[in-house]
Amino acid sequence: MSNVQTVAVDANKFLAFVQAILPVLEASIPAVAAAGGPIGLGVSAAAIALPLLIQLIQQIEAQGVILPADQQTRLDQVTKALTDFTGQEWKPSV
Amino acid sequence: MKKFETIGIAILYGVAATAFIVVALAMMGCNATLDPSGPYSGDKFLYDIDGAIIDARQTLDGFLTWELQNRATLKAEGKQTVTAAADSIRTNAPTYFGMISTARTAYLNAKGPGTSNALFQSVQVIQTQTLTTKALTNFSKL
Repeated sequence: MSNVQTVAVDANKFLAFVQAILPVLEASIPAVAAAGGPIGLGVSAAAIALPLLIQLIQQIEAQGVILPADQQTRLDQVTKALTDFTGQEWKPSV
Repeated sequence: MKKFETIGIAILYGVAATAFIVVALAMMGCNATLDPSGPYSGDKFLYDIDGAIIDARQTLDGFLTWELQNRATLKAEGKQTVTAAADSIRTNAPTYFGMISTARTAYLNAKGPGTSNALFQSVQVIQTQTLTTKALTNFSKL
């Protein structure tokens, strides 16, 4: 019972929050006014994230294929790892 | 009030859809492939093995550097066994890396299950050493 009451309070808080920010959203998202509907508001709100999404897609695509330059870096590192023991830390203590 | 509920749900759907797309794309990124024109010629197994070799080497370098920097303190605290372990690595690890290099060359000359298994097992030997160094480092910091 107490859980149900908590959910109801939270829902009211959320709706009050939506009511409060709606004028701001409508002012800042021109598409909302044009579409006029609540679904349009949701889609437009999601569209705000599109630039970030495009940036993420570009980063992920770059990670998807490991470029020759990055492969060469790993090859150089492994060659050094297998052969170079000249560092001071590799000198015996005595 | 009903309008605002619908708006809220629509916004949540939009956010959820965006999150779903981002997660799906991120999962695609985990399955990275090699540009076949690169020096690995698309050999992801060798690329990953080389990554493991580099990681193991960096761990050993880190441990040896830490031991070198704290040698006096270790001695003062009666933990010379750590320095002895470090010296053992200094003596033996180049040999292990030499074995890996030999197995790696054999794999490059004749790629197949036998040479790939031999390379994999040689890397496991050095990875076991790195686990030992991590345990020693953690023990000595107690």
